[in-house]
Amino acid sequence: MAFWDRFKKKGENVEGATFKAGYAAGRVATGASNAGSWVKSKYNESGGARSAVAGAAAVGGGMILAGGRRAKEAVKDNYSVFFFMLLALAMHMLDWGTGFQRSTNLASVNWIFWLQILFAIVAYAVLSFDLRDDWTNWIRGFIPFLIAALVAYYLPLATNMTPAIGSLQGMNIVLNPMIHPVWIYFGVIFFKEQGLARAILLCLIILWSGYVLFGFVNEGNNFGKQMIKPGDYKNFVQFFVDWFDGAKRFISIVTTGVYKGVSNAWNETMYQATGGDMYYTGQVDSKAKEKLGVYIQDLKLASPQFYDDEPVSVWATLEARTLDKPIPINVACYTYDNKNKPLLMRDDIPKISGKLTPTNYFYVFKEDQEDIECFFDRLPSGMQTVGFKADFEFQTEAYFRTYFMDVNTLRSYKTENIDILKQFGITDTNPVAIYTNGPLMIGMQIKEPPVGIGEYRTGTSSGDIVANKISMRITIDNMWEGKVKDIKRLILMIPKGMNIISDESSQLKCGEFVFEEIGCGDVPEIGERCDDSINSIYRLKRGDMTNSSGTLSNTQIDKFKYISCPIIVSPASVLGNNPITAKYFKVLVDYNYSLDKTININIISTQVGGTGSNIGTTQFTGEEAKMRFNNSISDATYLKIYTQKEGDANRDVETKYSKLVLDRSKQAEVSYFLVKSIIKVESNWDPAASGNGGDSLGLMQIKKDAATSNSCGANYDKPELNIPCGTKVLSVLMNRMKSQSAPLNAKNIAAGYKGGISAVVKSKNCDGKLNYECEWDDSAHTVPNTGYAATREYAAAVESQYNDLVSQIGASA
Amino acid sequence: MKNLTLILLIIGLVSFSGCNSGTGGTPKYNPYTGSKGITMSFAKNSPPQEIYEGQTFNVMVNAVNEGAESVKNGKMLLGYEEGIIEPEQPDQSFDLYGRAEARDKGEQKIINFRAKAKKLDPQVEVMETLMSVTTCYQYRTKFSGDVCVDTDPLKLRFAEKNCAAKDISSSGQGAPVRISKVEVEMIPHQDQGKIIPSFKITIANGGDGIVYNKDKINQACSAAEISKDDINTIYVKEARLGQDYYLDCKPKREGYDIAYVKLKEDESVIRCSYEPGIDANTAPFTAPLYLELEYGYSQTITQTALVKKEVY
Repeated sequence: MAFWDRFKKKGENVEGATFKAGYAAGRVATGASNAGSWVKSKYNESGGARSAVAGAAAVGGGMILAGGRRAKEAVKDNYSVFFFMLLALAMHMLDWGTGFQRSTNLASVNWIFWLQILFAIVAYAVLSFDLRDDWTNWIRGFIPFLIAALVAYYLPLATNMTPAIGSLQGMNIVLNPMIHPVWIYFGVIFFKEQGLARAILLCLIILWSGYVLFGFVNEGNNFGKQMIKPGDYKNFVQFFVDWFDGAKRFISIVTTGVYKGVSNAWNETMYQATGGDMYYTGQVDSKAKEKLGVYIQDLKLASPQFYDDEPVSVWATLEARTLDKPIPINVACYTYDNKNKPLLMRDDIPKISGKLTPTNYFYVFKEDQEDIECFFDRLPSGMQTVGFKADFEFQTEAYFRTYFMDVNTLRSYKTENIDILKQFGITDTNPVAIYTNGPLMIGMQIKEPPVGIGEYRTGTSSGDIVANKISMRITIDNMWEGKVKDIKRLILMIPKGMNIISDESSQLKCGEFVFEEIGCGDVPEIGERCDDSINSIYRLKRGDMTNSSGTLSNTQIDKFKYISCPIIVSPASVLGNNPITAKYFKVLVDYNYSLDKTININIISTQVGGTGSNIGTTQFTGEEAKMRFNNSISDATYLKIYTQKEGDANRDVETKYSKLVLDRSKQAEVSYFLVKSIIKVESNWDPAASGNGGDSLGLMQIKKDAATSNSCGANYDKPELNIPCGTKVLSVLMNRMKSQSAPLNAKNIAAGYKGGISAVVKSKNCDGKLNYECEWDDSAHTVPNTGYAATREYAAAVESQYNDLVSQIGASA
Repeated sequence: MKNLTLILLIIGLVSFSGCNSGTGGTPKYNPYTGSKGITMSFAKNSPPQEIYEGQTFNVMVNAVNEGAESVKNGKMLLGYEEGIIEPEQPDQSFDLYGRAEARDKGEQKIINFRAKAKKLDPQVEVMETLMSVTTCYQYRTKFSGDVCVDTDPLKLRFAEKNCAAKDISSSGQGAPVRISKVEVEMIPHQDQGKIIPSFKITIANGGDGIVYNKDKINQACSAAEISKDDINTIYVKEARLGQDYYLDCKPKREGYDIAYVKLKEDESVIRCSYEPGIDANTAPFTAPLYLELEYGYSQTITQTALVKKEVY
């Protein structure tokens, strides 16, 4: 019988009982109120009948207990399903209650990860206790549990990184708590024939289908910042392209995360198993109210949507806080070249820099908050990533307090069974390093307090043992998402009377690191806080730690996780006059850190999907309707209208291409007069016209990127392609202007054609005017708006030409 | 009715006069009760719960001798964290009179340690620091209680006994170390005409401190080494039955003639007996048992404070 069948069936017919279903094995019953006593009593009651195994799991750091229950009873008890799910929910509530703590550094797993794994192992071990005769299947059967645990851990991370979930306005807040308790799946797997379970399964399928369908669209890490709006997707193709992109990215994130997490855990375990030092953790200074460090926050788009022919602007807030030492911060923003766009952001991928305002350099003395804006002239259509990067110097300090006393006195107290720490009112029996807030974690450890120092007698004078060596172990690790670029300085401050032991070559070595002894004068910025009379101070000699670029490689950074310093102690100096003395060990690290935060933007293409198709979907009325192609005028009448008078240059070109202009205007539903006016002003009907240093070509002076994004073809400078391309651009432009409530007339459309969509959005500086119309560049009207001067002239010229053409045909236009 | 009033008046007067004329006035105050020695407590807001770096502050300790023994040259030591606190004078001596028949309260003193908070390290906004005050002093426990020396434990004589040997329990003698129980045993002497009064005495540490050898008590308030032999060690200075019978107590420390007690789990037992024995023909009698113990005592009180950086 297949393992799973056996698993499901194993509850049957124990002691000849007649019960219906065979899912008793997994019948897990734990009630919030009666779990403990019930499980215990049932475990005893079940005796040898292990067919029904009940499990109970712990919540809030509690642990998993297990008990047995006769399958017969279990089947009768519909509530056992409920209890199991309640338990699963409670497990998840713990996760929820602690804020779904996940680091976006995927390789960095935390306690909840191990708790999920532990839950899976114990739950499975209990549920399948009597099936271990078939080990292969037994192990195979664990895989779903393991997957469930990994999903439980990584899913909140994934949804937090999936903007489409957030696009449903705060759905992450709902979804993370509500649909992620994967332990409910366990209940569903084992009890699916139950009505309640089936209903839950159905709900989950619906929710997950929705998630899978929409969740991957616009996948990125700017969760909650973007919205999918009606009209964002004009066709399903683009939707699925985005969906596939998101799904690919999601899978990559999860697989990479799992791989990195497992490999890190494995490496660490192996390191320790082969005699390596322990990884020590510290505790961030919980008493500090200030959130020290540099933070890039509130990344948001300047506009809800961007098109590929307009500038893209992304905002962020840079926050920095320090207590003593000022922080210099260099800020940059970037995007990836589409060709190099990686699945996961990597430093070695070439980037394109954006323009940053107001500045890319900040110097923070205490506290600062600055709104910064990143600006790109254009970004290609599709999913784009814009990142803000802040490089800054920072300092993290950690202190570790432990207690010392005379080793013989300590032994005397121990012999007398006296807890000397308790006697002296010391509750800090297992001290941990306290480190200041910031990107780095500093952990430290010295043997359990109180540390006995001195010489203790062994009974024979020659056999006295010297107990004056201790080992100070330090772990420095990166806890933020960014990267430690360089450890600039590492200073150890240990109590006076203690010294790092020099090796045979007279070097002061802590593992691979070589230190040098310095004095307070060498760290002047610490000033009066440094006291040579109570501290011995050591500084890390850089040696060959850095690579050719002057930064530390990842492997070099990893070495900082295991620093072990042998220290020799002078008891008299350390103990002073106190029976037990508290001493501080301090580590101060100056480093360069690079913080990176990205946001994904779906740049909408101005391509309208095939020649003339989908153009003109927006309904224009009134004056605006005049900007549409007027079908009431006959083709013959249209073709009589000229911008070039007899004898003017390029009159023949106009004659030759007027029919094409007419056809394309009709197709794009753009005013024939407007297209002709634009051609007149742009090129004066010279097909070989070239502007903007060769970037604008042809009759309608199409720019290269516009031609590319509109699929105008390689020879877009040729009138046969140039005119269709220009009319398409005009059509899209008019629709967009309409959506932004910009008045549609020849002058404004021409301004948009020349200056882009930003030229025809409402001005902040002049009431009732568009950007290009406003003569001022500030609200106080002191700075002239010179940026749109050319646009104003151009728009006026087109308007004049348009009016001239209209006047040729009379009122019917 | 008049007769009844007169009778009541007479009864009242007789009763009143009887009260005044008995044993000679109000009973004397007995200081040898309780199991406290010196008690310490921090004065209110001392040390302050929050101290700013660079600030000078006081650690004031209210010390009261609640025992029956006076303390001379006791020591009080401020425990502090060197990198954070800098005291002007970390140790002080004190004398404190104990309770006495004429004093129902022991002497009280405020002992002040003045200290300064050092500057905090860069990036450190606040640090919690532990301050402790340890006191070390010599003390004595004096026990006095009537015991019955039953010279006929086997009841071989017909004469009625004046008393019968019975155990004594006590809750304390005005000292942190107390004699909690005295069990009386009469052991036949090898010389058949005599009997040996023997006492099994239970001694306990009734306070919350540590008992030390009285001669090494100062080491408890210093970094000097303390041997295990000097911890939980109490010497029996004197053990006497009545005025004449000096008792021999065991165990004795090797090389010393003086008995000592080594507490284990805060309690221990010694045996004291009058080895020469008492004539068994003597009628059973009651006599005071007097014991005097000597030891050093140390206890600690602690208080945490936050040292803060003046950020803004």
